[in-house]
Amino acid sequence: MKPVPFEYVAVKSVNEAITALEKYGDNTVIIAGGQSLMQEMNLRQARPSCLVDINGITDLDYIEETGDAIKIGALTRHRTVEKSEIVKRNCPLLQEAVTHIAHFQIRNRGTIGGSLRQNPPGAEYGVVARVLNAQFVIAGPDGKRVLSGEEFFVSHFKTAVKQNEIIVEIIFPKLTKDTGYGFLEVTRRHGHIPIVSAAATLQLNEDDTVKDAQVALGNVSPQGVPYKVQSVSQLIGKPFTQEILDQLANDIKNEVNPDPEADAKAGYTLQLSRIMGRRVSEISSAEYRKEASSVLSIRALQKAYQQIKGTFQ
Amino acid sequence: MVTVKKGLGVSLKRKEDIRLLTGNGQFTDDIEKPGMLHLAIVRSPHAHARIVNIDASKAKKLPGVVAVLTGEEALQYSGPLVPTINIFNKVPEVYAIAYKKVRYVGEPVAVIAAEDRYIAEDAVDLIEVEYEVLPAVVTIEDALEPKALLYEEWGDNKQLESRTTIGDIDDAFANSEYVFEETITHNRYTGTPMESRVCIAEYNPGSKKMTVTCSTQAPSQVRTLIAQTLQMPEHNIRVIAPDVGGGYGTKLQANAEIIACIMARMLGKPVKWTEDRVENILTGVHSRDYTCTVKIGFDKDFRITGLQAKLIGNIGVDGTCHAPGTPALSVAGAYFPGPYKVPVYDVEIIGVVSNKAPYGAHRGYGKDIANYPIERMMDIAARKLGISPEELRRRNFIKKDEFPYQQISGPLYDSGDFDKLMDLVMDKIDYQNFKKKQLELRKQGKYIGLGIAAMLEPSGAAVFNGIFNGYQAATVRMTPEGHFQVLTSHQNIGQGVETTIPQVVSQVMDVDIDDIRFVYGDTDITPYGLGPFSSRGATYTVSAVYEAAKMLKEKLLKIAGYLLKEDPENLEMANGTVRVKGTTNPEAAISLKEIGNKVYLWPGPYATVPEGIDCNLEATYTWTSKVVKWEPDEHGRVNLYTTHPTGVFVALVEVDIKTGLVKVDKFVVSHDCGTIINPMIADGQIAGGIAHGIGGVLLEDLAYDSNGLMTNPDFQHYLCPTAMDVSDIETIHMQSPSPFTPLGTKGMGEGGTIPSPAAVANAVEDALSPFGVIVKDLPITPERVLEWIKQGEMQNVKS
Ligand SMILES: Cc1cc2nc3c(=O)[nH]c(=O)nc-3n(C[C@H](O)[C@H](O)[C@H](O)COP(=O)(O)OP(=O)(O)OC[C@H]3O[C@@H](n4cnc5c(N)ncnc54)[C@H](O)[C@@H]3O)c2cc1C
Repeated sequence: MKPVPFEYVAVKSVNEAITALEKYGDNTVIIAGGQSLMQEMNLRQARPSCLVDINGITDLDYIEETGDAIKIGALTRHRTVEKSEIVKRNCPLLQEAVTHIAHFQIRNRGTIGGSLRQNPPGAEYGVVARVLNAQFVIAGPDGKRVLSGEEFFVSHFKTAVKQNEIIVEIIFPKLTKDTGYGFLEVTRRHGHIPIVSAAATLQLNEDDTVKDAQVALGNVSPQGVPYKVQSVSQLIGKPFTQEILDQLANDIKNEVNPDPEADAKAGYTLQLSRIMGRRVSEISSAEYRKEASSVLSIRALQKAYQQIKGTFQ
Repeated sequence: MVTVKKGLGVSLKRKEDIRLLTGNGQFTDDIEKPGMLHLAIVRSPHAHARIVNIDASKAKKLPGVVAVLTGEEALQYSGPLVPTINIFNKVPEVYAIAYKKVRYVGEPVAVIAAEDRYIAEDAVDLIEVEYEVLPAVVTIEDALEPKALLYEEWGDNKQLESRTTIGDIDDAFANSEYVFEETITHNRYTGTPMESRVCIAEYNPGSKKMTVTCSTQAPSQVRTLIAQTLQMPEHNIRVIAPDVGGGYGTKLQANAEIIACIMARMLGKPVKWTEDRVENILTGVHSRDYTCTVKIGFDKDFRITGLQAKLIGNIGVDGTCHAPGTPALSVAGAYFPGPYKVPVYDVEIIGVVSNKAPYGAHRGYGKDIANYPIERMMDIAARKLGISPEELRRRNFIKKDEFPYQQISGPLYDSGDFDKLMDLVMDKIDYQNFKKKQLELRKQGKYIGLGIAAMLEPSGAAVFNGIFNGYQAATVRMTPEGHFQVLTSHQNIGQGVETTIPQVVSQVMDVDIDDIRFVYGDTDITPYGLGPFSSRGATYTVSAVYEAAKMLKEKLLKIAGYLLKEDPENLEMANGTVRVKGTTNPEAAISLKEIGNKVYLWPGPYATVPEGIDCNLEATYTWTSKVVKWEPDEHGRVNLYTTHPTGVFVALVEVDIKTGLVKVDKFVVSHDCGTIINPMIADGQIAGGIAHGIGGVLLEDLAYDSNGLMTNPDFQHYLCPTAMDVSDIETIHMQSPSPFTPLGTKGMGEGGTIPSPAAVANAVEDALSPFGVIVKDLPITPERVLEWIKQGEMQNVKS
């Protein structure tokens, strides 16, 4: 379990990082927390020729509050997000989701930028980013660009971030005080990558009908990207009843379309000795994931509802 | 007040923990030798293929690479792997490095020695191996078909085939009130020690001496295997095992270790091979993986009338030479009757070879195979009979006054009281109350369940034909200061022997355990003997140590009698002195230190040791069991195990019927391992065993696809339970001392693992009984649970 030989450059600024990514060739990649990349390198699933270490860019490690958003620097550790007062006050859904990522030792090192760029199917950050319509700020040789979740996530382990670009910031809209939320996942083991993950937000009108409802799911789309559920829009304007939830549960089952073959194709990869290895992912049948999508979505919405009603224990 | 730490039955803190917890342990990989080279192994990416050509020319040119060796070239230095054990099974011709053919993914194909491991792994990338891929034999069906032959010369894929019938089984079933039959399967899983295997081999071409430092459970046995495989004189081989980070049965062979020895011999330089986790999962010996059809008859009072079991184990490539796995199936055959009285018994065992990794030992060694199908069957039958699983077991338990009990399948059970164990555990969980709560919670959509599994843990195997024969010597030695060393081949693999063995000696000598050191892990120092496997420590090693200590004590009393001018019969040992029984008079006592000083140093042996006594202040005793029976009777029955801990395990679970997630809330255990040496360590063994069981039943799975490629060869995908996944465990002990060991002790390292999968599976079925769920293939994944619920519901609709 030793990586192939590689060059190593430690940088102190975003500009230096971009310069280094350009200078050292196509096979140059960023290393942040190393919690995904190092294992892939050690298994020789990933064979970069040069690493650009961005851990020295200390001004990418921040959580800031603006009028209606919070901005998180790409180098912010999972643990910082988990413990942040700003996140707790303004985006508790994000905070709840982060506690599900791995174990605290890994959360101490892993970064939000690294996780989003890695985009393993089911990963918590991606699902929350999708449900909240977060924005991704990416810097490259030509300056910065801002992408939506729809544009950012491309497929399993792939994003729109180019080789010579660096994610610098993620912007999460604040949750309004009247928004209920829920995050749930099915994992086979504590801290393990989920089989399915679900995030939901809910707002009610004065008359208790649904004002807005959003659900995003992880590890259910055939493209391997966090998936925004369409059929949840049917709740809008209606009372939040068991009946309509039952209908939605059914519709979600029909709507989501996991593709185990596509997952396997992305998940299996060669490693040392050309032995078939595996990139971090859970593969289970489409049937099961449809079922779990529907159950988790409804539960997350119910949790959100109970929160609004103050009945959540 | 200074407390003296001594005696049996006391939860003394583990002496070894200070070293290990402060980072002062030394494991094989911590050791560096001057000029040492590092090995990396080119492994087969195919399950089954002929090796057509190996081109190492590019690798050899890589700066830092010192040597490359293929299987064919290795034939100059080594013969085939020799059998570790052979109980009537076929012995394949296999090598440490594959020769002509590869038979599983991960099989070594070539070895590289380089200046460091990085370069060695770079060279792996450069070696080009041309294969002719053959059809892969993956499942039992593939093997029996046969889809291909692993060993053409065998003509089939069966390594083991046996049948034993005692009584007329057809007649028994014909005369039964009820007969049930189920086919029960188990997943493939393994021991996953914290430290993988590591081996440093050094060969001195001048003295022709080979020194092998490795992470093993069994230094003496490894020495023998190396000598036989490399065809070297055994007295020139020294095996050292320093701190070992767990074994769980997976470190009882020399296969990969042979590779390091070959390279050292060829190069005359020290070489190190450190197994990485992927290598460990791919090749580091597997276990379980079987299908078992159980047929059981009951009379009108629900007493067993006959038991029939047909077990087919998927051994993988081999379970004899690579590792001692195959006989685990035979052990299962001897123990299917378990804690129950069975009047007629019929068992058939087939071990098929396949293109999976070698079959080895893993906590349970077939006793788990004996347990799981039967304990599952007891629950399934109880449900069909409409009585409680507790009651069905009670009707069939062997009774307390029937011990020692001659089991129909051969074993002689030493002692126990299953009814009492059941009482203890049922009182603790308040069964009636639980059932009430279960019904109430169901109304709220919550499904909790309770699963019982009775446990029998045959411990201390003495198996003929191989390196697991029960040989155990111990030396107890007094130093000039009056302190003690205990020397045996019983390796410390984390089970607490640096504490428990001194406790045994302290019981005899009445000294503090801090004044006693357990010495192990070097075949040049300790007497020949076997390592910890088969939970044999408290059966064999403890007994040998106890007897040796008693011999030494007798000698010390004689010397003290001579010095004190007292009859040794009137003397006793107390707090590090020998004194006249009961006296407080210092004149009538002599300290052990004084005796040691006088004999060894001042003045020396003359005039301090009475005539006729060997002045060597040490004693060696080799303990053998009085009840082991190797000569088969007319049915081929033997008795290999001396002691049998017993227990009743109860798992409490909650199942989310919408997601299929199973959470184990609690284990409640009643346990009896005879005389307990250290209760805290015993509890630790049970807890660790249960963690292993929970892993096997819910999480761990060595999964292969239809081409024989493993789909989860790393710890991100092979899911071991963490502390977060293991439930609370409450253990109640009782003690029925074994009549077959001098202290009444019984080995107990596997008892937690043996019944816990059945307890969890039974609990899941109990939780989901409204849906008529039957637990089928393991592990119990959320996906499978939903499937079973659906199947159960469909069944309910139909009936
Ligand atoms: C045992 C274990 C369990 C885990 N469980 C989970 C889990 O449950 N859920 C989960 O989501 N994750 C899990 N992870 C992964 C973990 O969250 C990682 O920390 C994360 O995926 C990667 O973040 P990193 O900072 O460590 O990135 P690295 O490993 O350093 O990099 C990952 C990838 O991102 C790129 N990259 C990093 N930073 C940037 C940047 N700013 N701009 C552009 N590219 C960048 C790298 O080039 C690389 O391709 C687990 C990891 C482990 C070891």
